[in-house]
Amino acid sequence: MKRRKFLQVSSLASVPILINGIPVSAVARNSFLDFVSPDNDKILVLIQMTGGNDGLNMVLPLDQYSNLAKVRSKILIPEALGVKLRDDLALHPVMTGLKSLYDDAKLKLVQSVGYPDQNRSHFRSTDIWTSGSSASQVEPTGWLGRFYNQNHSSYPTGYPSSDNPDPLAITIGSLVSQTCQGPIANFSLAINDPATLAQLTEPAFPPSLPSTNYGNELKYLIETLKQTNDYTDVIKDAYAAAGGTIATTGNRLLDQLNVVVQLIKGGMKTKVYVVNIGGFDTHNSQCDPVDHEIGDHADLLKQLSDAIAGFQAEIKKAGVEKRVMGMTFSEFGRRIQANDSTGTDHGSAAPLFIFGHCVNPGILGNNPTINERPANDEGVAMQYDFRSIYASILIDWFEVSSSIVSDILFKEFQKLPVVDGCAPTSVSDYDRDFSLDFETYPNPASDYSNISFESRNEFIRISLFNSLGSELKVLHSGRMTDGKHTIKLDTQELTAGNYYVRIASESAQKTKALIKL
Amino acid sequence: MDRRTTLRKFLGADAAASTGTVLQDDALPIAGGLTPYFGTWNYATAAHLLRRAMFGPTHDQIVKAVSEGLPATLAQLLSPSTLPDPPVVYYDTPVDPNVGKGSSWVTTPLNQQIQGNVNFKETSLYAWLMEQMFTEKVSLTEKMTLFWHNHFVVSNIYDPRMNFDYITLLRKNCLGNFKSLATQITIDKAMLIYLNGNTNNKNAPNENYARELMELFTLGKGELAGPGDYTTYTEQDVEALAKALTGWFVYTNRNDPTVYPEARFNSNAHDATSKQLSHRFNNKVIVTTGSGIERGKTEYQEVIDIIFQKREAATFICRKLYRYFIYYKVNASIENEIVEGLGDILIANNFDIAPVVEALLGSSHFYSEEALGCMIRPPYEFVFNTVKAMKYVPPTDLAEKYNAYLFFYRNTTGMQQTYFDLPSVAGWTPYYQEPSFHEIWVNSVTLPLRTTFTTGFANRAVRIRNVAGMAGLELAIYVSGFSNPGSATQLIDDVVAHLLPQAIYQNQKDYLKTKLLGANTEAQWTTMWNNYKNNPTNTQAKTAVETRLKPLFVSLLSMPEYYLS
Repeated sequence: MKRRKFLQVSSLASVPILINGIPVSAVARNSFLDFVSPDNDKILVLIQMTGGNDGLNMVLPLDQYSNLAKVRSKILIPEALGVKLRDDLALHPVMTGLKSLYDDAKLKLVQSVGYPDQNRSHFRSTDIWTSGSSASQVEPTGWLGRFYNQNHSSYPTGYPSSDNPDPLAITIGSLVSQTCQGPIANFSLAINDPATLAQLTEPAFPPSLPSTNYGNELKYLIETLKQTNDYTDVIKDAYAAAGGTIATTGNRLLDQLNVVVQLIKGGMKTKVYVVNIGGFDTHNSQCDPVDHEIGDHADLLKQLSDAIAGFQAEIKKAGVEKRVMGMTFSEFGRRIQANDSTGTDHGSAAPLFIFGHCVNPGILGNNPTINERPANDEGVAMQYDFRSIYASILIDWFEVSSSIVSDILFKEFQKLPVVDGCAPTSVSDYDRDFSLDFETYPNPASDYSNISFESRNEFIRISLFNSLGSELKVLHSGRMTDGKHTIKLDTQELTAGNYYVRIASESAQKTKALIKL
Repeated sequence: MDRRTTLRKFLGADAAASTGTVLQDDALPIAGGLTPYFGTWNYATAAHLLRRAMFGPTHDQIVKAVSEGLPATLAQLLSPSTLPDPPVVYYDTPVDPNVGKGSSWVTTPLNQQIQGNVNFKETSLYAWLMEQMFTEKVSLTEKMTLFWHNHFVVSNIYDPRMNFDYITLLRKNCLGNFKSLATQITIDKAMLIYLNGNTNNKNAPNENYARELMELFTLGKGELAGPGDYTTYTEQDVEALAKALTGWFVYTNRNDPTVYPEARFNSNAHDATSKQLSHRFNNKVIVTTGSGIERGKTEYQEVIDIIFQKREAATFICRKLYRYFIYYKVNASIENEIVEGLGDILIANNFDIAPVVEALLGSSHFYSEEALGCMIRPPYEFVFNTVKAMKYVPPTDLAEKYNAYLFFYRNTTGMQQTYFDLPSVAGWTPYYQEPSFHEIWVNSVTLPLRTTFTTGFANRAVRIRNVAGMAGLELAIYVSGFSNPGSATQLIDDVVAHLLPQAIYQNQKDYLKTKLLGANTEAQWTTMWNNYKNNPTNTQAKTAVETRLKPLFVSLLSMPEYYLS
């Protein structure tokens, strides 16, 4: 097995954790024996949008509309109908719920999240997102599973216990979430409807189990049965304490989130909840052929927006707002061009939302650049690596030390300002005034293009992506000196079409289009 | 013994195990390797073979297998089945003027303008698939058809005719030639649609199929050996093979339902440039041949030829067969002894699958402790083992019968296994997802669903949509098939041997006995049984024994042991 072995906690002591030369104070807060603060009571709610969400119709880049109109006129949302967050950016007309969260400073929108070498297969890209690995690495464990495994490596043996009476993680649905898969067991418990939970009869078990494959599997089954029963009581109690059943709303996502609200209100110490909304694979009939603001995708986005707003209101009412944060994700965005079936095909990056009282509110990143003539299969180029968001949540929300986070995510990722306010430690290592910008000229380019930018003395990665989201080459990856730089990109061997140059520093990044003639 | 010796022994040996009488309590041997099994052949070993090779063997089938012996039973399992009659229209509405109730719709026009027409035909196909698993006798056909469905995955492509043709291709070839099946599936209509071969043309090659063909269908993805190099193949090969496969499409006409969909080749859409493969394929170049409308038409066959020259094309599928029939853990010695050995057999037999399955199910390893009782039953196996092994009788009315099968379809869907609705092209997660594999089938949601299912059937308290009355098992009739149901002890021993994969402990037998007896004594049970046996049509006598059998089976079918095979 090639799985990378986690660094032992003791090695931490010798590794100075510096980001931009500033020691990260979060490390000092963490016990070296128990890297997650025992008093950390933060909760993360993951909303998985299955199928690949069309980010361009969810978050409308109004400054790109003239080019969008040329290639997705069959599905484009009328500009005037968008719910504006900014002059150049609006949400889909149905997302008024998220707009009110935005106005309340409880919403973070992160633009164009993806990963290099975008894989457009649903299952593979879902694996990449849930495992928190690179596109080329097949990793059987999930990113949260590796997080849990730090402190609970013997799970499920001995669980529940007096120290850990509640499920560590809960998936609402019929299958446990791959995000919570550990090396031995999945750390999440699947629940459909707590109201219908009932104790299963426990038949007479064998007095001992043979150490054979049969014995091992029988052990798993007996443990699952016992654990289902053990946790059934805990969950039923919490559910009852919170007031019990809530009427169904007609919004299946909200129904799931309402279960989560009840369990949190009921006092469960579960740290992660995963809910799911499917149907985003909108190859056809994404919207009404005439009124683009209605149709399948609009219905899904309305569910999403209403559910998040409804959830946030309940969480506030319950008085636990400072403990709960949520995040949406989908395996990929969709193509810039619409297809001939009033739909869109698999693409690359897409925006995502982080919500809660403790988010650092606002919009992170620039609107994507839409070329005048995007290739047939062109997707939105990535600005942010999804693992940067995972890293930020683990560090700033769950108080995991950055070196362990680098282990959980297999390497170090730029941390993003997504958590704020009530975070236990706000690591002030981003310089929010510093904006990274660059120019490419000539653009369009035939033989070459110069990339000029100004950097500080820090780590800079400059790479070239094609319209499919593949990182074609890395022009620079390493420390740069303070000042202005120009790097020449040889474009002779590129075939004509649309490309993207992405520059990432330790604290910022930007993606811009480059056209090869 | 190294695997070459093993192989020679297998290929040269006359795999004959002795027949024998039913000896339920014999300890099973521990042995490994692919050497043919010559050990004890009894009720336990025969039941083990039939449980793994088919769905829900009955007590009678197991007894017959014991008396006929291993070679004859294997031969029976491997003998080709005739194709079943196709699915029919079982409903009154929607009315399709092209096909009447009771007739098959699989070759008739599919008019999408008729509300519900596609959807109801899909339900007919699903019910029919359940019927095949339910009604099959001693045969590997359905188990292997399901294996291929999980291998050459196609989900619902919204034309049930094409889904039917696809599953028929799998069923016809289920014990045939792997290479031939891979060739045919490459231009199968449903597959062309499912993995975008349909839109793969020289102007915009779509790599979806070419990639999965190597990664999931034939070679498997090896270690990352360099940028885009997966040891078994490279990104360059994906691109090259995608080009070689351009030009195929599915000919249909949405506005004219009388046009029956067909896979066709358009030489104008075929990329006729030379396709350079990587060093993983010895830098081979695929050159387009033929002329006119035939130009490039046979190139997909060359693609398959090239892939099947690699040893991984044999070992990859054998590893999957191992996990399907034996256990998910493949350690180094299993890899060396079994997987590589089966790969040798597959290659020696020009990719015929039957000799491999025969070797595996007839091997010493298959009857060793490592293989016995360790498979967590997938939903189809779990459900059909309950209703088929215990002789559930479906309704005779056509509509009710299909509705009863749809009930199994919906229940197994809840348990996370659904024909034509696989979570991805990689197949059902429990067959490949490390590290949990088939443990994924059972969790805190699906476990209660399984218990609800068995409890409902044991209590004969299942309401099936559009079927009159209560459905369930006829327990008195089921246990009548055993030697001495009037003896509580003997009855429990017999049903445990039939339904559970291994012997259980005395405390568990005692537990089951208290469930059977309730407040009665063993003598009273004997009296009740004899009373029923002498008056089988007397409702009161039957109810009396059933009142006792129901709690016995509710409990037995809830035992974790019952989830194993």
